[in-house]
Amino acid sequence: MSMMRDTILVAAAACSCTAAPVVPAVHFPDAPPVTLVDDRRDVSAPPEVTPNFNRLLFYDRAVVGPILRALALPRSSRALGVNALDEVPDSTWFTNRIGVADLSPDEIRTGPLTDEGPELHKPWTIRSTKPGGAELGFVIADARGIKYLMKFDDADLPEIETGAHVVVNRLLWACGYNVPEDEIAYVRPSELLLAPDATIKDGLGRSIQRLDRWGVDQRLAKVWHTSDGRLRVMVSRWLPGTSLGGAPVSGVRGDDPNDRIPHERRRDLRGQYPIFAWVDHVDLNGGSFLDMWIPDPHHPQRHYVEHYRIDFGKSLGVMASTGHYPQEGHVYSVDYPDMARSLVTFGIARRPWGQHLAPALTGVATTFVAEDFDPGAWHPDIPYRPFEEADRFDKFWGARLVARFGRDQIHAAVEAGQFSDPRAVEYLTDTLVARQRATEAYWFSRVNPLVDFAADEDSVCFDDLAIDVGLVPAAATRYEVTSYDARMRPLGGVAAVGAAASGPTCTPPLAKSTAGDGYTIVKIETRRSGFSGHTFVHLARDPSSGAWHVIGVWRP
Amino acid sequence: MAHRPCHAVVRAVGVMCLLVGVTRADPAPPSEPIDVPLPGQENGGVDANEPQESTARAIARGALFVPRLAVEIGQLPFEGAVYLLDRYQLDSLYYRTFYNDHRTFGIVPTAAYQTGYGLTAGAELVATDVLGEHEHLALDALYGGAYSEVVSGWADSGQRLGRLVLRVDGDFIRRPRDPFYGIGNGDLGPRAEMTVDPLTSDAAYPTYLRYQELRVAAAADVHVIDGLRVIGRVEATSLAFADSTMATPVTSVYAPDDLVGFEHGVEHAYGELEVRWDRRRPASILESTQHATGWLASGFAGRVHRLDGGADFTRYGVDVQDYLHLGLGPRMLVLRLLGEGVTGTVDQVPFNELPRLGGDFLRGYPFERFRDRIAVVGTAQYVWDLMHFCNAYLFVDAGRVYTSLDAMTLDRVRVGYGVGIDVHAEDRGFLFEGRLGSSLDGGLVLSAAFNPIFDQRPRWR
Repeated sequence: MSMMRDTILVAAAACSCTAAPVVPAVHFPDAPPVTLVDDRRDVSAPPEVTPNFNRLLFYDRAVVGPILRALALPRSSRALGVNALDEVPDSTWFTNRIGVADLSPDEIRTGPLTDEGPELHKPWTIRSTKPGGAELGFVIADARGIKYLMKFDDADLPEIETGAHVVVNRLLWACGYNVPEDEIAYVRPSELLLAPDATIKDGLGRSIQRLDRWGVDQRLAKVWHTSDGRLRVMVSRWLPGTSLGGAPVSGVRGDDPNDRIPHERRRDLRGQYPIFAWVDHVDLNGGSFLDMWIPDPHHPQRHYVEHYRIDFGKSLGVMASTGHYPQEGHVYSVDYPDMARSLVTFGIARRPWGQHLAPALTGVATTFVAEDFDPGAWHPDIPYRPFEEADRFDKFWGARLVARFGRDQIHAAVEAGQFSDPRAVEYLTDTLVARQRATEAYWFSRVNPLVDFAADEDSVCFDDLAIDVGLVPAAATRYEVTSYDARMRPLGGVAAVGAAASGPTCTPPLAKSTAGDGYTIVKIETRRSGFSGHTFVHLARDPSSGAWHVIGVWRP
Repeated sequence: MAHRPCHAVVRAVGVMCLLVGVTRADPAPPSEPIDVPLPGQENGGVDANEPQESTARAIARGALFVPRLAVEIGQLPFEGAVYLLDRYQLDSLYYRTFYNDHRTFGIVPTAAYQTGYGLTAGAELVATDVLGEHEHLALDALYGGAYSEVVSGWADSGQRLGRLVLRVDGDFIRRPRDPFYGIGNGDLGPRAEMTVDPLTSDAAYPTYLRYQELRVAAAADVHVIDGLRVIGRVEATSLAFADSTMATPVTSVYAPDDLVGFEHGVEHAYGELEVRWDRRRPASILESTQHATGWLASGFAGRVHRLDGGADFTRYGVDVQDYLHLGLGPRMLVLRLLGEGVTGTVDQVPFNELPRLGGDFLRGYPFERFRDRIAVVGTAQYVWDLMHFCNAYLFVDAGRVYTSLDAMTLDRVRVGYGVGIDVHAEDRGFLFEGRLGSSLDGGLVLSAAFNPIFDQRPRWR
C-alpha cells in the first residue's frame, strides 16, 4: 500500500495543455521493482464454482458478444498487473521462468513433471469418463492410486492431439504459466481395469450412469492404437485441491479476495496473445482454464486460488485439421466481418489460409505451418476478452517471452511429445522457430524493442531486441537520448549514439537531475529504416547506496 | 542456446533473477510474505494522459444505447434456451430418459412440421444393434390430427452380411392436403368455371387432396466396390385419395373421372433395379463439407404391375451429378441432371405416379407444381463457405415436364433461381438447409430441408 501511495502522478502539467506533453506524466517510486505479489492470502472457503457451460459460453462470447461489444464502442486501457519495469511479477497466475533465466533443454523437456508418471505403475483403473469437453477420455488411477486424466488420439490422426498437448504444455510452462503435469504414455487395453463404481460423466462432470466394459470398449474402438495394439495416451495428473472451473474472462471472482485485478486488464492474460498465436492454441473455451482452491504448502490449513491453463490438444494446428477448418487461427469460428466479406464477394476474396500445408508426417497436423502465419492477425476459436483488450505493449511482453526460446529449448519441448517419426520432431521444431521469428519481426517493430535497462553513474545501457534476434543490423540503428528532470524539464540537449555491434548499447554520459534523489527521465528514441519509436527510462539514486538505478520504464 | 543469454536479463532487471530464480518444482512463495504488495499495487506507471471519454464517443454510445438494448433483449430467448441446454444437460438428459445405457435402444418422442401438413407428433422406437452386428430396427408413429398420421417401420441387416444389406420396410401414411396443379406444363391460371379434364388440358390451379398410402417393401443393397452399389427393391402398395377438407378440393376444379386412380385408389406391385455409383467425396481434409468433388451417376428401371386391373407400366430414371471444386472453402460448382419417366400414357398411369417437379426438384416453384409422363430438371449451383459448418449457395434450376420423349424441347422451360444456406455438423453430416427461391414465373418460395436434396431423388409410386 505504501508503495502505491508513493507513486506520484504528475498530472497538473498535462491537464492545462492542449497538446500531449513530450514526456508522459508518469512517475515511479524510488524502489526496487516488485517481483512478487501477495495473492496467496487465506481464502477460508472455496469460492463459487464456475459451471462449465460451454455452449452458453460459446453463444455469449462468439455469437452475441461481438455484436454487443461493437455497439458498446469499447476503448482500450493499459494493462494492470505489471511492475515499474513493465514486467509481470510472480503470482498465482504466473511465475517468471524463461523470462528471467535460461532453462536447460532437460528442464523444458521435463516441464512441470514432479515424478516418473503412471507408466511404471500399472494396471490403471478407470473411474469414470472424462467430465466435459467433446473429446474422448477417462479419469484413471494408477497402481499407486494417483489420479490422472487420460486422453487419446483420433484413430485417423495418430499422435497429433496427444503430442500437441504435451509440447504446448512444456512451452507454456516455460513461459511461466501454471499447467498440469501432462505426459505421453502407452498402455495396453488389458492394463485398463474398470472400477466397480465407474461412471459416465455429463458435461458438468456429474455421474449420470454406470460405465461398463462394453462402454469402455466402444470408446476405445474409436481411438488410435499402435501396431502392437497399445494405446498412446496423454495422461494429465489430477490437479490438487478443489476445482473451481475456469477463471472468468472478465472481471474478478468476487468471492476471492486475492483476485483484485479485472482479468481483462491482467498483463499476464493479455500478453498470452503472441504466445498462443505462436503455438496456435486456438481452443480457448471455458475448459481451457482451471482455477484450483488449494491448500497453502506452508500452512495446509490455509487456502488460496491458483490459476491454470489446461487442455492444449487442439494446438499446433490440430483444431483446424480435426475440425476440417483451415480458418482456425485466422478468424473466429463465428466471425461476422469475415462472413460478410465472404457473402458479398461470393467467396472470391483472397484468403490467407490453406495456401500451405505441412508434410504428411505422423504427429503433424496438416495445417500447422509457418508460411501463412500472421502474428498480428491470429484469432482464437472464439473471442477471448483479455485478447480483445490487449494492446501492443501486452503483445510485446508476450513476444519477448517467445523470443527467449532457443532452438534447442523448442526442440526439447517437442521431444516431450514423443513422436515416433523423428522427422515430425524436426518439422515441428523448425515450424515453431519460423513462427517465433515471425512473432519477433511483427511485435518488435510495433513497440520500441529496447529492454533490460541498467543505469550507472554516467549512462543507461540497454539491449535492442530487434538487433539481438537478428532482425536488423546494429549498424543501421541509432539512438537519440534526451534527459528530463522530475518535472519534465529538459536537462541538456539531445545526444546520439549508434547501436553497439554486440552486447548492450550504452548512452553517452547523461545530464542528470541533482535535486532530491536525482529523479531523471531518459527518453531513448530508436531510429532505423522504417522504424522510429521511443521509450522513457526513469532513474534515481538508490536511497541506501546512492547508486543510480532504473526505477521505471514507460513505453508510450 | 536461448536466443538471449540470461546474464543480460540479470543485469537488466537487477534483483529479479536473484529473488525469483527458477527451480524445478517452483516452490510456492510464503503465503503472506513480508513487504510484498497486493495485486494491483505492483507500482506500474499510470499514464495520466490516457485518453478520457470524449464528447463524440459519449454521444455515439448514447445513440447506440437503444440498439444495444434491443439486441440484448432480443437475444434473451436464445440465450435462455442455450442456458437451459447447458444447465440441465438436456442432450444427455434426452439420452438418459429415452435410451438404454448403451444408447442402442430407445423409444423417443418425435415431432415434425411440414408446410401445408402442419404439426405431427408421436414416438419412435429405435434399435441400432439388434443382434450384435449393427442391425437396425425403427418403428415410428406420428399423429397430426384428422387424416394426418404416419406409422412406419424398417429394419436392416447392418454389417451381418458384409457387402450385402437387406432391408424391409413398411408404412401407413395419411396426409390431409397434398397439392395437385393438374397435369402438364401449363401456367397457373384463374379457377375455371367448369371442371377441367386434366388429361386434355394443362390448365393449372392449386387444389388439394387427401392421400393414404399402405406399403410394404424389401430391398437388397449390394456394395460392389467403393461407391458402386446395386440395389434391388420389391414392394406392394395400396393408395387411396379423396378431396382435401383443408383447402380447395381437387374435384372442385378437376374432373375426378379423369384422374386415374383417384376414385377407386391404386394397388400395385413394383420391382426395381438401381445401379448407383457415387464418387462424391470431400475435396480436402481442410473442408467440412461432405461432398465437394467427384460425381454421381445413377440409373434405375422398374416395372409397376397393377393389382387393381389397371395397365402395367415401366418407370425409369437417371441422376447425374458433378461436383467441380473451384477452391478451398469449399467453393464449388455443382451440376445435376435429373430425369424420370413412365412408359404408360396419362390415362393409364395413376395421376399420383406421374413424375413431378417443384419444391426440391425445380426450386423456386411450389412443391409438386408440375407433373406429366416425363420430368427433367437441370441444376447449376455455386456453393461457397460463409463460416465453419455453414455454406451459402446460388442456384439456377431449369426443367419442365413433357408428355413424351418426342415432345422434349427447350420451349417453355421453367427456370427457378435463388439463394440458400446449408448448415452441417462437425462430422460433415448435413443438418439443415434453408433457401429463398423465385422463378421466371414470379413468386417467392421460402423453404427448409432437413435432408440434403442432392442425396434425394423423387421416388413416387
